[in-house]
Amino acid sequence: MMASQKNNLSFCSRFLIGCFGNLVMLCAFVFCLWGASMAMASQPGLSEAEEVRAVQLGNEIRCVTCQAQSINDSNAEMAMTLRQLVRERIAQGASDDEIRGFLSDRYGDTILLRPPVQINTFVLWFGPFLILLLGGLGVWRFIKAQGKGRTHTQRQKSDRG
Amino acid sequence: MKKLGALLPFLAFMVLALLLALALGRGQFGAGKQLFASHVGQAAPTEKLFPYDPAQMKGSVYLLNFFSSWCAPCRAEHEHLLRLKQAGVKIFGIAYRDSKEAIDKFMAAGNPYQGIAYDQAGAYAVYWGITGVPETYLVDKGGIVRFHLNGPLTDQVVEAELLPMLKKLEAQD
Repeated sequence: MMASQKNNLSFCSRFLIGCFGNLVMLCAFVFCLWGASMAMASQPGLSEAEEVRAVQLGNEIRCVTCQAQSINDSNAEMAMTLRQLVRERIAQGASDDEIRGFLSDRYGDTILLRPPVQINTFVLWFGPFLILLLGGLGVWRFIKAQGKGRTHTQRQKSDRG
Repeated sequence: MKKLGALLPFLAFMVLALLLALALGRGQFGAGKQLFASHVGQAAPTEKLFPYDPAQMKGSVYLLNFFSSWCAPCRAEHEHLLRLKQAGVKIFGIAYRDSKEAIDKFMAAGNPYQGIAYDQAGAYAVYWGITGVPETYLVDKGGIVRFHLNGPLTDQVVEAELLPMLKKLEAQD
């Protein structure tokens, strides 16, 4: 008798704790949804294609506070400001080039993670290929010289034999 | 000719090392280098942010200071701004991502600004190309940026750079 009462009690308490736990989880979920909707509310509404453009542009723009990161990767205040600015400009109908142009006008080309191909970036864009070419040429010449040396000694050996 | 060919990698290395050393000497790398455009020598942005209107400031030399109450270096440079105000320098403040209440509290100790504009979204800061707070610009009578400091004002900067430049620009027509 006593044992079944005890069992009932523990079942009830377990049930209540379970309900309470679920309620807490539900509240947390609702709170997260509310937070996300508040965050979205402060951003201009963009279509799906515009949303994709905003993300792509965000990946190409350097964070001015944490220079090794794009504005999408950074949590700095300025990165947040620039993300908002990109979205606002897209909502206003600006093209990607216009947004890039505006930012490079204010911050210089350094703000673009993909620098434009122009005279002062020639070395940056084509330098690695030039080094690869020169290195390849060096390796080719070295291998050729080695080959020549070997045939020369082989010929000497066969002459002696 | 063969000897010269063998020397080629060494020569290439020496040329590269020399170029890098020259670039280092000119301050193209490292902490001293301003990574983003400084706008020095260029016309100041003309966008208004109430009550700051660059068009109305033409004809006077002034400092434009981006700051926030939540930024420790801004608090550190505050005494320098107060001293500059006492010396008769016109200073305009742009409160970056801050509330009026917080700024009022911050200014209780002394207000160096002849006006404060509020840039709550931070969009105005982008017009000036700031990378964080504090940042200070010196604008001449013709609306051209003459000096830009990325970071807090210090004794060294104020005495050695800012005050002599202010004196020179004030003397110009």
